[in-house]
Amino acid sequence: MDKPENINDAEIFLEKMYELQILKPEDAEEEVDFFSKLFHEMLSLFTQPFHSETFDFSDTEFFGKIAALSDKYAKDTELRKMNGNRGSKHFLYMNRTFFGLYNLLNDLGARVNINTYKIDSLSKL
Amino acid sequence: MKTIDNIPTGKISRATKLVKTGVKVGGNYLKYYGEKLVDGSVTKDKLNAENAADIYDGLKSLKGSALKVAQMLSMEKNIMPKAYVEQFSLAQFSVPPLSAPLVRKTFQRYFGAAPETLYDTFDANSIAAASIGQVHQATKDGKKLAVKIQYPGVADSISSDLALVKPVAMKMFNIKGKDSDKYFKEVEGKLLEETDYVLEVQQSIEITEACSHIENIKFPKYYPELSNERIITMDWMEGTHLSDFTKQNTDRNLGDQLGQALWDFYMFQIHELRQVHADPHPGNFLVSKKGE
Repeated sequence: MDKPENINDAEIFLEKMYELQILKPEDAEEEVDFFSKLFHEMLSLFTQPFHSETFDFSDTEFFGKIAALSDKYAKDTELRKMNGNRGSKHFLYMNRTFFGLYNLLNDLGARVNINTYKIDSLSKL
Repeated sequence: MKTIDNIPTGKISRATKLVKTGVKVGGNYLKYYGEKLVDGSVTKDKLNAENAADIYDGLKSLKGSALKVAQMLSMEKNIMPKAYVEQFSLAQFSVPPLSAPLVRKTFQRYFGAAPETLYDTFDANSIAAASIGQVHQATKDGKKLAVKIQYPGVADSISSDLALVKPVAMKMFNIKGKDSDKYFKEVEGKLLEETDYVLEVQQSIEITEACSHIENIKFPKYYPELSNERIITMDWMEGTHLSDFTKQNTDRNLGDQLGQALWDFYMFQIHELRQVHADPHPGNFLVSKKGE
């Protein structure tokens, strides 16, 4: 899901939504529409650091967008009416990990090489 | 700093504490509307700050899992109003410590020995507090050690604490429906895992080995023979809390270097080890003089 070509392929995206238990087989059509749109918007934004070789976490525009998006859905009356407990239970802690890490890197104002951890693990083999 | 000799462990006394917090928050709202009638300029920020302080005071004497929930919420910077975030960030650092006699009792119970017989020196006063334990300084064979002692009753009170916090959390995160239980079970399981100090030592040693190749990340050495269900002994780490460091740091390159280390550490855990150890909470990291 961290690759834009997967997020933007409607078929793959929908398949993953069911796999991650964000969408459920019993969902009504309007729920499928609403939550696919919501998660597409969120994931496109949250995975942005993975889309290039380096990412500047001091980017106030990026964090401003995240804040605006959280704010938008926190106030969304339509969302309040729907059942919000979606996603596999692992989401709870993975989300916290990513947000926590993003916030730390933002505090540090760090410019980070996204893929070096892979080279690291390869050179060890 | 005043110490506490016992923690309210009964469900009733803990519930009372939470109800009191609720009443006080209600009072703040009344005050807000009262002040608003006289002075139109009173902002919601002030209200949030007062509520946050009251909720924090209520949670502080509970310790354990209620405090853990406060910490979790403090990480959601974008969901929580700023006043709450600032107040709850304190949760990591300042809780009244356990008294020296209670510390001795814990050692007697789990090691069958006094701390002085296990270490060359042992400071009876705790130097730092965390959500489910407190830290003491000790030395042995010329090495400076950190000894973490878990608050008594933490593991037993997790389930009843969560039952108390559950209705509030469900409202805050808009969780409905019959299968909401799976999330609370996950939280409960994770919290119970955190009280298992034997598991923590074992996992810490594993992750230290697996991540030893990552640059600029250093782990303390753990001493299994001086650890058990409620006590962990590890090397004392010198450094500045990451949260304090970021407030003063003006060296952009040093920020990059530390950020890269954290990024590599977490990405390696997520993508290669497929398990994540340690909260990315600023209170969990120290920055050394060497920039590690």
